[in-house]
Amino acid sequence: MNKILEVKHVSASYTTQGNAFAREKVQIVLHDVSFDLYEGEALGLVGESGSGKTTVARAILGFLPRYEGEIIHHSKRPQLIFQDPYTSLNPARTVGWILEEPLKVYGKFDAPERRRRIIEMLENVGLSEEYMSRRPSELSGGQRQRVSIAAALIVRPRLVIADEPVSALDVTIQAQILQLLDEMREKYGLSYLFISHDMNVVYQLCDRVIVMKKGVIVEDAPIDDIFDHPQHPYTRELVEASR
Amino acid sequence: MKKLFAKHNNWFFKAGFILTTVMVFIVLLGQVWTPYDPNAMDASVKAQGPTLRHLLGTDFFGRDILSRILEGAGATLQIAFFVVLIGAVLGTVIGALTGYFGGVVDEVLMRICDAITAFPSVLLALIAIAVIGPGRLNVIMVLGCVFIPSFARIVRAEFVRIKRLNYISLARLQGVGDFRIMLKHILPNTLPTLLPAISIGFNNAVLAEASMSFLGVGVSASEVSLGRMLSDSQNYILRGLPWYAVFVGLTIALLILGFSLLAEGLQQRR
Repeated sequence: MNKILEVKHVSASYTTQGNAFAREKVQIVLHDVSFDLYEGEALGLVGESGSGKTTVARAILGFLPRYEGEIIHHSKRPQLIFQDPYTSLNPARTVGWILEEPLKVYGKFDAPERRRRIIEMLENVGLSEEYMSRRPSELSGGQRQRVSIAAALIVRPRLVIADEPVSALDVTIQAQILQLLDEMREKYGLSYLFISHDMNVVYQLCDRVIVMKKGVIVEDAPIDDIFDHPQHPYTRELVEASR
Repeated sequence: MKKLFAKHNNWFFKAGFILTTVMVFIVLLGQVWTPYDPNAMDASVKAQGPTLRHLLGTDFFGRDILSRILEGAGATLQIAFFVVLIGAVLGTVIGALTGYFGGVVDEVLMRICDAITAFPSVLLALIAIAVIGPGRLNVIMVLGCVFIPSFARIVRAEFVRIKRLNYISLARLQGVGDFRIMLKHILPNTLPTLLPAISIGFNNAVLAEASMSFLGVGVSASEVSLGRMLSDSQNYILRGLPWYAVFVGLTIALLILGFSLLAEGLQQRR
């Protein structure tokens, strides 16, 4: 299988600013993180808050100004789906505008073609054409997350990073969104890097899981092995907690 | 327009909208038609209170005060309009650039804004007018520049806040350029803050023009404006003719009340 992303020995730290009462402190957030992501794979990145999983995503997407190591992309324009569907859509714009913007910037399509693609993508995520004129404030959390997914997929990326995309949603809606993500993966041959703190959610979508603790990868194994024979005590803890 | 009403369906907005519309309509009407020539003197009706022929009375020269108020309010509104236009446009450009990019330019421009804000705006304008001389155009330019920092500060704060939000990060990931993000993604989201600031700024501009003309450094002596008329009307109060000052003051008060209500209404949702 072809690699779509290589993360090689990435370390990152930040320095807290010192003042009269506290010395400067170097806080390590990632330590020698390495993994590969393969085409069509859904890789779960699991850990408690503060484990550095979101920092990994930020580094991959180029939002982290400084880190050591190397990140090699084998695909163009990886996209991101945020946890909070309330801040990831521009409140001043309609759904149609939000979906059209990346197509406009891409610049290769004329207006009718853009419209056709928007409607197609809306239908993909289970929304009808009439949602084009709606504003985010008129949508529910689940609908917003569907629009976020549509906005991420409309530029036809091959790699999608999802940062806790269902954590802010009700359990019933969670299942629907996870199913949608799974369908999209099959339809477009996507690779996912799926960040979550919830083993149950990861189990529903992912083929392989990386467990992180305090900025270090403690386990990297296929999903079934993680559940059946967890090696690291921390993994065992997570699996136990999800039962 | 319909959307604006649906969004701000409160009494402040409605009352402000009606009052402002009426006042602006009257002033605009005054630009094309006044009951008398504002500068025509008539010795037979010198210094009268309100009569049926002269609804708001006449001054020492027998000039119709209603006609002069209409003409003067036009000048005042025109000055206020251009002052706010200069202040809001340049302030928005500066605030957007400094808020979005930050860095050294941000520091330098914002410290300059701090320095300008440290002086009372009318005082600063007085000094500038003392240097370059009075006149309508000079007043507009000077007040316009003095008004820039307040808008720059508001817009900058909004840009700093909004640029950190997730939907801006996503736009960047999708390859949208910096200037397009500023113009199309962030700017529309600053409007709920910017619109009330514009109507408050309009108020301040009306007051600033009135104060400056009152002090005799605004529009030149041959021109009419509300501030200059208020200044003139002082002479009438002691001689038992309070009407002049009352009507001019009332006009300023109504104009400002309208814009204030509008601003308040824009800030409140529903």
